[in-house]
Amino acid sequence: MLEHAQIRQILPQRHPMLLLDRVVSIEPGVSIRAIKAVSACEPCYAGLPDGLDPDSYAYPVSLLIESFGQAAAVLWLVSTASQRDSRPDKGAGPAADAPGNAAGDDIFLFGAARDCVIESPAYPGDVLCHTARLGRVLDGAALVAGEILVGHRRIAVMGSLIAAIRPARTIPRRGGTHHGIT
Amino acid sequence: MTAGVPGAVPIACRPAVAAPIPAFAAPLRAVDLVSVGFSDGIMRVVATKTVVSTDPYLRGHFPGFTIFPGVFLIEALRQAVAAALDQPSPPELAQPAGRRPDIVELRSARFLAALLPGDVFTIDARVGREDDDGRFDVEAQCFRGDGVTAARIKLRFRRGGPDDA
Amino acid sequence: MASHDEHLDELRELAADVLEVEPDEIQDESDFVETYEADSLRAIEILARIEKKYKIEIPQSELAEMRNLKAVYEIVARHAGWPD
Repeated sequence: MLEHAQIRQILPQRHPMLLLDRVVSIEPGVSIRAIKAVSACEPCYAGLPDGLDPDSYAYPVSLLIESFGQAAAVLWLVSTASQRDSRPDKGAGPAADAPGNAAGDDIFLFGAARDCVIESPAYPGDVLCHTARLGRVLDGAALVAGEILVGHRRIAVMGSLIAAIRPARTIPRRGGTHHGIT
Repeated sequence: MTAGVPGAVPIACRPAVAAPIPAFAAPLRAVDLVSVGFSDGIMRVVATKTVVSTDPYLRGHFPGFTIFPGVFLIEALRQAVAAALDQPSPPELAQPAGRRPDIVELRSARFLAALLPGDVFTIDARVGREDDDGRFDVEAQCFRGDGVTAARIKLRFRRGGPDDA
Repeated sequence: MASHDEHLDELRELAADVLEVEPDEIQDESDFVETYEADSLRAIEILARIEKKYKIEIPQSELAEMRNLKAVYEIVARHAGWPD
């Protein structure tokens, strides 16, 4: 199990875009189960007028996918930690020296996705339970598939996601053509 | 306005209007301006937004170095469609009034270029017809201000969202 | 074992699904990047699907050679041990 403090050592996202609370179980190289509690105090619920239909409070699908993607990222980063730690160009600074920490010099990006079906909405009070399975891993990219459950109810199927990791220095600070994906 | 977006089929769109602040849970206001056009049974929606590092959620993505998250382009498409469907449409494309449509499937998405603070992106979307179950498909391309394609997204929506609840 | 043509058609369908075009739009030697706007993400998807379908592993170094359907067939045939 990985608590939030350890998740922060693995992922570069920070509040309020760090959408993973706890890793329940992880089998490096294979799969991960991780949870995120949906709460009405999140920024996506700020400033809503009164009198809205109940379905207006559905947790945004964009954040559902992002949260799942972060579970996938943890799986991938933990699975490849040993290879990355031995890289000579790992980057300087205390944050980058921590074992398995990608926050120092790598930016983790959502590359592509396919066949992600939302079967049911999630609402404040629901705990999203992501199950992600690692598929093919290449240098700088990984495929992941899985599901999102709330309790026993499956609310989404994530058919296939591609995550990409790029050294921060390759991303232009302004303009430029792309972040290394051609 | 005829949207002069690279590679676009010219469908004259109405003048762009400010997108409403979403009246539903949303991470941020993901589109600034929305314009809608109709041609040959297809609704075309063109929306723009300037990436601003002080928008909600962005200070965490990432600290000291903002990149507009790919999922927020999905969000932008969702909000553009919601805003477009709130506007009056010609009789032949009249969508049944009723529940707000929401995303039921991300059929495919590719995120191809980084969007950074100050970048203006344009979403150019084609909205298909609703079927009897309230489902319709939206296909969109997202361009960065310099003309580079930032994303290609295909979503399926359904009136009232995934459940019948 | 399936014939050359059957394997080629399987690969054509697989590539078509990833590239989001109809199978009959994929010519054997049309460049994926130039003709079907493929990018490295699409290439990775095609590679992953091929590996899963045929239970082989294709080294990442050969990804760049998978430029068209014919090239894909040759690479897969080599790794899957298909007779030519």
